[in-house]
Amino acid sequence: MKKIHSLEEFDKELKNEEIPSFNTDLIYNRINDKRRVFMFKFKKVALVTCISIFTCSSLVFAATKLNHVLYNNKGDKIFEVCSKEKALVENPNTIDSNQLRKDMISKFHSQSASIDSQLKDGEMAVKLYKCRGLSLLDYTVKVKTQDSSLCSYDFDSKFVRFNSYDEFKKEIGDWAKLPNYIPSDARFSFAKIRYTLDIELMSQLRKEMLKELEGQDEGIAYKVIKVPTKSIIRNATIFFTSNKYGMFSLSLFHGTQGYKTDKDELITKLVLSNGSEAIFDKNSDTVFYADETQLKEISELSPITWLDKPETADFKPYKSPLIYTINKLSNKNLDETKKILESIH
Amino acid sequence: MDIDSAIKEYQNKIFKYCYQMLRNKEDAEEALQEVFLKYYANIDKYNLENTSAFLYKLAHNHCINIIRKQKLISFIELDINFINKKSNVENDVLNNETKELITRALSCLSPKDRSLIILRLAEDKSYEEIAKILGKNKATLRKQFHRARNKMKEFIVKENGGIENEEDSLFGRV
Repeated sequence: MKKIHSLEEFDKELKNEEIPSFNTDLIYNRINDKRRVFMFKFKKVALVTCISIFTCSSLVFAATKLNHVLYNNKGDKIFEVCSKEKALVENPNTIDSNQLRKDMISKFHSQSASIDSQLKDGEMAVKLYKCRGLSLLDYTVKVKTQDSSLCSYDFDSKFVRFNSYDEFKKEIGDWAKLPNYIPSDARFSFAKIRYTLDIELMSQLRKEMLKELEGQDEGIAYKVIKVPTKSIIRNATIFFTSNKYGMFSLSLFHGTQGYKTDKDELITKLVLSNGSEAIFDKNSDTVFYADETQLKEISELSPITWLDKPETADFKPYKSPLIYTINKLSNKNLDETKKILESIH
Repeated sequence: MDIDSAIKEYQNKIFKYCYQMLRNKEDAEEALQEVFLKYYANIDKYNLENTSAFLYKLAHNHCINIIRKQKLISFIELDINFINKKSNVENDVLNNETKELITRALSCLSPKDRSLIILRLAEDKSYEEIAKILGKNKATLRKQFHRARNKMKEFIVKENGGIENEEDSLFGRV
């Protein structure tokens, strides 16, 4: 394991630290969302003010209950409740971005489904919907494993869902280590893998498709590319069911042998102290040390002692709902440690 | 400075600062968006003479809040355990080791000290610039920097089994 030997060495490492790339589009998306919300609020305020003025000026107005239309004393229509579809067509800025997204996907659903149905295994369709000057990028992935009955696809959240543990294991490969210890009564339910998109490629495809749709008020364009490879898996989660804990998940970390779970009741925690691995049992506030010859039990050691450092006085003691554990105990007493874990559970 | 120019000029610097503070790409991306969103929301309210200081101030405040909320120190402690484990890919090992090395060293500091160290050492900011960002005077910052360096020195000594490197007796950079 790498160590720091001097402050200069630390300064150099900090200054030259490799920073991962990031997606600039996310900033613009957030700002554009904000702009839309602002416009929506502004128009809403303007509309309410307008109606109030008419009302306060003793104008005669009528609200037709059947179609919710308000008129002024001249008989002009000043307010109308209409369907979202109609509002979207007449004024897209009055719909919030999430709704707009859903509406656009819904509008092009049949064409999109038709494109998806033609996808071959290992292909990905990148689609651009255009409607009233707005555009939306959408994509569909099709992955088929050896036994298709064991694998289904969940396109809504852009995860690929695996109903077979073996298929999931195959797809994960060396990307992350799978846990070799789980509570004894836990059963594999399903697993999901999310892939990172190649942002540069997506931007390029988007430009090309926008060009294709140039001059059209609305339409759909698409490109078919190869499905993302293992090297750009973004995250992976396995879902288990257990009689004791119900459903719980384990999220895998790339290149590590660790995973985290959302289940607080999984009370064991592996900690590292001076190179020795130890298992912490939250219920009994006990740490089990594992070494070459025997397991030593050290009592009355609270988690705060482990995690809260005097230098970090700004922080309150840490109590996370996430319990971390490690899948491998690198010592000869693995079986014995497992027995302890079993007895804890 | 308008929002587009500010994003173009400062996005890389602010992302680097957020990443080094939060030690996580996803959190840094989220922080980056928040910073520019806040900048966009305030761009008309104030006469922003120093865009850089204002953006760093937003980033600093946001990162401190995130760390406080998530008790990042504890997460880092646990993440170290994961990163310590062997990886099958050589490059991953090197990258993880460097990341872990920096994370381990920074985790011995409070968030405010961490911010000061990053601004001074990684961003090469002068005390005058840092004073504008953190809203403290230069003398206070110098003292705080020395204290933070002392903590780091103790950490290094401890890491090397109690052997002090004589070259560091002057605490390096001040």
